[in-house]
Amino acid sequence: MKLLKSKSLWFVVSMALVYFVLVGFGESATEGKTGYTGLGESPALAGDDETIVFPYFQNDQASLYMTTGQQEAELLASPDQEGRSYIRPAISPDDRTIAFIQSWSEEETPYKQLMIFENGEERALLGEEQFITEVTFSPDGKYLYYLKSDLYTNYSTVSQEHPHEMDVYRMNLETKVEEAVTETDAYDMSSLHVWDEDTVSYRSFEGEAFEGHDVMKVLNVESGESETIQPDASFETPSQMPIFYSPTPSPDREHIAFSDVGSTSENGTFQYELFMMNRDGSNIEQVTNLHEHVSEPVFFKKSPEILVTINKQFAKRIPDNEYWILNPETGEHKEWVIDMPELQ
Amino acid sequence: MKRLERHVEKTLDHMQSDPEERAELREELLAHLKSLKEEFLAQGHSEKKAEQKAVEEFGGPKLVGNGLQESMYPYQRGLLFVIGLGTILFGILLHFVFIMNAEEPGTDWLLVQMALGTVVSLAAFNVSWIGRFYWSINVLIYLTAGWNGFNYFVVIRFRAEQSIPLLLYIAVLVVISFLFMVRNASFFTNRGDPSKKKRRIKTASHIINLLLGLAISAAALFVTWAGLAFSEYSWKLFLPLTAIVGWLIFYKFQMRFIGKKPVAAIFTGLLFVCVVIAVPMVPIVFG
Repeated sequence: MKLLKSKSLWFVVSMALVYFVLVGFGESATEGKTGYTGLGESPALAGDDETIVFPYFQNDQASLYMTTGQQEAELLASPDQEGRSYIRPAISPDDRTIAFIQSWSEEETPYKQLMIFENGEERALLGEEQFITEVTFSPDGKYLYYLKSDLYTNYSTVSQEHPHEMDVYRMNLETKVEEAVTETDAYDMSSLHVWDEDTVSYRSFEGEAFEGHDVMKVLNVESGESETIQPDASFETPSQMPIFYSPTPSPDREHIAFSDVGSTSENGTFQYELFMMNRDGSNIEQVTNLHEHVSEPVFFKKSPEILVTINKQFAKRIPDNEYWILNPETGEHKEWVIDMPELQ
Repeated sequence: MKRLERHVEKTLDHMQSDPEERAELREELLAHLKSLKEEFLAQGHSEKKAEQKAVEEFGGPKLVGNGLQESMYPYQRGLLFVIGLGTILFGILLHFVFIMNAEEPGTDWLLVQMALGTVVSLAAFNVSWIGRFYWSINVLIYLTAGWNGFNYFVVIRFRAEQSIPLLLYIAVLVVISFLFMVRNASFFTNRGDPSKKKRRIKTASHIINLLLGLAISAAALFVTWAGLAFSEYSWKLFLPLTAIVGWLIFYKFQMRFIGKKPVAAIFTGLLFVCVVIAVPMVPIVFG
């Protein structure tokens, strides 16, 4: 019995030592190196169709980079405060200004602040209390359109907190005067696009909870008239109903590119592919069959090609984003390989 | 005579037998030692020398005790070591995967993993003492298996080349734990039962009841995980875990009941599952 007790004691002491060694090793091995390092989603394509501005995460903190063709990416703007990220860039029509969102959390409260980068410097356009999820320029470059949320909460105990009570706003970049474009306090809004000086579109949820569906609303800003775009009722996906994620109008506004569930992986995760349809929701065609998470389509202006973000680790702990160029006409697709500078 | 009794006690220290079985063994081993002593006395040795030679002939307490432990409770100590050390090793592997993925290593997670593994390994070291508390040791292994199973939700979010081997590891660990619990419960109820058929029915009843327990545990852990993953943190999210506590308390009585009425015990086990399903429905049905 004495022998057993002594063995037990030695074993407990050994395990305690192993634990502290592992904790010490873990802390030193990951010091300043934790979090996602890689491309962020939603790159912005410049008017020349050759330059993109994109967020790049280093240890969970994103900065904005720019690259043209095969050149090494160049750092544009980097947050000066720990834990903040610059995400969702939008390039002005004259390619001189970049609007983006500064994102961070303080004591579990998330913040998303509207920022602008011009003449080599970034500055806030709105206060920290204004929760802005997306931003884009009007085609004439005079206005910034953005989605603002007035409430960040979970309506149900079985759902996570999300931005709600959302509306489209715009700001005159000369006068800095802000005005509400919609007054809907929408449950959900995303994929904001400005079609022309009078028309914007956004994805929203329509109908009652658990019975409604996602649609694309096209709104005439002056008259207030709106058009609802959604996939034809015959469109079936492995999900119960179409998710109609990130709908994006083509440059001629006759087609809509969107992301939806194309298949299900072996472990039951939805795999999102890119689809194209006519504006009236007809003639839906699956563009990709990559069995990954394809989203955030951006149309090139001078060619039929589309830039998309592909997350190769969707629903995993850490994403693995890549940018790919797809040609819906030929079916060709190739990765836009980003040559990143050596990071500290 | 005291020397022989001391030797028997030391031998019994290496075995997990309960007091009743221990008393029988004590009597049996002592009789054997006395018989050996008689033989040496007959050969003309002094009493002291005859006792010494009887003890030598009988064998060392560790050798005999471990031999008896293995013949009466085969592989139980070994299985405990596999579960304990396997749980510790899994924690270490998970820790290195976190580091490889440049994630903050979960030191609290590692602590729970290593603490559980250490306690199970200590049970293996001290099976002669802890082994006679059949319910307690099954609770320990049940909780260890549940925790290892809960790691599924951590591992599933890793890359496939990391998650697949780790998931296989978890599956093997849970299967071994289940095997141990069935055997341990069967040793508790089947001892002294000469009927092979009755022993088989009891073992089958243990398997069904433990599977029901694991199903309750898996469902409770899943609901808790889903709550933590998809909704705002609240103490209410941990309420489903009370089903596990409830089942463990129920199982304490159920283990004995299986020994007496193995077939009826299957139905009481199912009844408990129905109660666990029905209780959360009460506020829904009655507003």
